[in-house]
Amino acid sequence: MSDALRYEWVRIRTLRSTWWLTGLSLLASGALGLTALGGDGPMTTRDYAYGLVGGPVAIFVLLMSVLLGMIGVFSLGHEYRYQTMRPTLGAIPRRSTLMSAKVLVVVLYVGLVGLVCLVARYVVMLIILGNKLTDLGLFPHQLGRIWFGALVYPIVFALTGLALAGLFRSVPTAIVFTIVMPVIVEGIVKALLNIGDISILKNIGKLLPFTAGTQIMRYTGDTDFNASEYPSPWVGGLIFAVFMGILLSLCWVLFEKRDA
Amino acid sequence: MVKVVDQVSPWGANVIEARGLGKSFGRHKAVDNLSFTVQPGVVTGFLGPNGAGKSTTMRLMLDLDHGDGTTTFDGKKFRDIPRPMKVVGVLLEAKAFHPTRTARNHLRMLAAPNQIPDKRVDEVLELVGLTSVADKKPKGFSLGMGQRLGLAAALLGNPDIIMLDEPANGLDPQGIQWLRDLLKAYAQQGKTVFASSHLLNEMALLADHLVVIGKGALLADMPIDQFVAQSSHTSVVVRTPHYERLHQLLAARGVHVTEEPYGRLSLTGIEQEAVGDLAFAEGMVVHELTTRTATLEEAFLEATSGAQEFQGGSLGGAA
Repeated sequence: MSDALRYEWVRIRTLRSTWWLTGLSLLASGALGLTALGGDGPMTTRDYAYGLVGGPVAIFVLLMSVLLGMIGVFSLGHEYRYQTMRPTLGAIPRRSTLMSAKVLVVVLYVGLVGLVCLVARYVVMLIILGNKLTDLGLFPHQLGRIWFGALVYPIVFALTGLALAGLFRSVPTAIVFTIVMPVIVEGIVKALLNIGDISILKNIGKLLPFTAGTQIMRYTGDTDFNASEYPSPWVGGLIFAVFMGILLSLCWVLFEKRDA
Repeated sequence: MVKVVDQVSPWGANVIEARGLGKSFGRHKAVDNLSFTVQPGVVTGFLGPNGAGKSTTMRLMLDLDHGDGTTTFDGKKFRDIPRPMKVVGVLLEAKAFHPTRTARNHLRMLAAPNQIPDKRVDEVLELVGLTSVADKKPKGFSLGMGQRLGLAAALLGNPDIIMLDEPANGLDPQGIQWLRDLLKAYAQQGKTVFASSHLLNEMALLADHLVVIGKGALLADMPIDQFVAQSSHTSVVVRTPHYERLHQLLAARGVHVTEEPYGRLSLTGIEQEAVGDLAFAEGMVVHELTTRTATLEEAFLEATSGAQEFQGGSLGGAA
């Protein structure tokens, strides 16, 4: 396993895309929507939560997830796109070992970069807000969960990208799926399911994986927030994780069974 | 606890043994119960017409494709070899690299899991003549340069066995000669070289032994000299003023005789010495007596006639 991890580490760090995706994520962490926090009023937990993740729809974490998710897509997708799968299996013939190393390196790399991005964002908020932020403490009401969710969501997103790249054996298809599904398809489906106010359809709408997943970093104390439309934060996170788990398992099984 | 004992090959070290290889795509049998042994110390050529199943066989041998049968390298299945690049070097496709990862980094990436030092990366880059472009992105590499990078990867672990699928593809004449010398020198060191090629003239100069397949089945597994000698295109040519009498005598002995221009007879089914002895015994003057050896191409075309997956038509037929 350590041999395969060595391969994956050299693979990921010798790709330019790894570095520009990492750079863009870091750039987004300091630049996206934070200037709106500089108001005169008192700082609330809600402001802190929205500042950290990028508003009620967690736009910053979503953008970071899409960027870092590409690292997951490329992890397996590049092997097919550039026909390097055979040389790779010539160096690491046990497929499960290779797949384990890919998953582990994506989890560690995306997790680490995600943490750095969140910390960077917090530091930028600290520079803008100073004592108003520190007075709230690091993990006030719901913020522990939100920090955790903002860290885990990009990891699950990247693993979903890896699984899709393995299932489709195509980088473009996996990229389109990982961007179009959360940004466009789920929004349309949710809107359609809400027509007519039929509760069973609304409940199905709660299962849309990418949308459900964002609930784990949702601040639920907002007066505008309609809890009946969404699963609870932990259940939402679980739905997304299970969705990723199913895709990854399917990808893993096919990776073992298919010809390279 | 089960103790795993490596299977010891009766052929000695560095032997490739393929047994009962099979692979079907739907109802089409791409590889059909194929068994052969590749010995060390010689270059073994792997020949077959287009679509004969050469590449599929190589992928099956390396567990890259799923199918029937087993292949062992020095007694071990490929997937059971720890750090396999130190035992088996493989080239299956030219240009199998990421276009923006430098040649040096591509090799370092493959070297890392096999614990091959970076120094060896520089050595193989020099060996294949790519030192000057080692830090360049290979997206601009020609087919020949890509092939050289693939060869560098195959040689990276200084393995005792190398398997190469069409290694001469894209190489210029100098490159082909370099490759031939390299592979021959490799075999002379007691290592095992198994290479496919569709360049028959090249294979005739390179290989000592041949494995020939057609429609996925084994057609020949023998030394190249024997393969060529058994071709019907190998004949004895004799020129004599008494050719009509000699023709009758030879035909009576069951020799296949073909008359050629300038009083020559082409004979198959008899050795050159026997023709000389017969002419001498009958008091016939002989002006020419030679063995005309078939080319590898002739022998190959004869062996694979009827085993071609794809056959072209002729322009004349369209008229």
